[in-house]
Amino acid sequence: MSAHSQILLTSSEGTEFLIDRDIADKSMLLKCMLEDIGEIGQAVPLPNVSGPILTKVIEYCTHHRDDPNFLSANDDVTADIDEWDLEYCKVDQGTLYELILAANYLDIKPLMDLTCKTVANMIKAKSPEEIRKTFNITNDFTPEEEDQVRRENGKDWVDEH
Amino acid sequence: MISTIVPTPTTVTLPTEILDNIVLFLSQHDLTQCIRISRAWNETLTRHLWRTIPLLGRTRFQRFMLPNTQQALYKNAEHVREIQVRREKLYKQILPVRQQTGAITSGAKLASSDDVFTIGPFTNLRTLELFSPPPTRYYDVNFREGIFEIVRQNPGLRRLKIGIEMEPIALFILVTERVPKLQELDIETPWRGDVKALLDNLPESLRTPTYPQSIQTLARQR
Repeated sequence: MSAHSQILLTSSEGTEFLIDRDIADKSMLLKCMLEDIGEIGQAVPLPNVSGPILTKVIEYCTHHRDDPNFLSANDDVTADIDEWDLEYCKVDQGTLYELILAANYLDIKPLMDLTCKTVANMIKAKSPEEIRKTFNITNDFTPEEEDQVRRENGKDWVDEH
Repeated sequence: MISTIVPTPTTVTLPTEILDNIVLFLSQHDLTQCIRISRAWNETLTRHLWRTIPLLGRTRFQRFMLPNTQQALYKNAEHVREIQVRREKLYKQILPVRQQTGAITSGAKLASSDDVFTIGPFTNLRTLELFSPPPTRYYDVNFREGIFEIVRQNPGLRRLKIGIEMEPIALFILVTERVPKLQELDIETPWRGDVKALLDNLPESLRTPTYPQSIQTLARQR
């Protein structure tokens, strides 16, 4: 019976989303809440998630609906991201960050790992200047501080050799 | 053309709370670049850079011993959780050896790459690995003292993986007296049977809470 039930969610702007219970259960936050208090027949407010972001989150959970390895999906730090997930993450940086925050808040670990991995891939093998450019970050170190940070890591003792 | 209200994506900045979650997917080399980005990145990521100290080879050890790195290490000592030493040749630079004068040398403040590095005190060091396969054939009685010295300096140790021969009595002392919070011991010993018998016959009073939950002894053919 509960397999066919549906849950109503409300985004930060008050937009309502009706989703199947098994989709909602991908979020540990919703799953635990629904298990604890039962389905109360009222909309669950999600004041931290906007409508467009919630749409994206639901898209992810729906695509991975029947994935038997859902919870361990992106556990492997070094594994490549699968094609659908790669396409899914081709969004502007603002959306990507909001997705991370939403995945964190809703406690959807595979989505959290996927989006964090995507950001990490934008950092990997880049120089500090390239990273600043990628993320539009201003270097706010004083020249003295920058020099000290560089000196302490100048020889890069963690380099493989 | 009518201008739209769509914000340009370039003005978006990465929330720093996200950084903590991204660390898992970055190598230590990436981290050394990241802490140079800005003050906020430096503040958030520095502790992750010092969390694990892998001393996997001689070149890396020499760089690690450079004054600037050592200075940075001691500034970040509280962040150190795990130290891995995976080269037998580094043992005698890691284990403080008793000199003929009876004094224990300390490498903490020394600069040259040939100096000894004393592990500790790191209040939050939980895991120490002195393990370089294949197991060492070289036995030095001072190493035992060295290991005792390390566990004395780092009372937070929980997990030890040691690839250095230790006599049953030394192991017994290590397990029952020296590492009060030991949870895991993985040790190379040629006296496997003896050690097992010794540990199995520990008095009940010593088993809790000092007796480690899991002990693995690796047998070695002699």
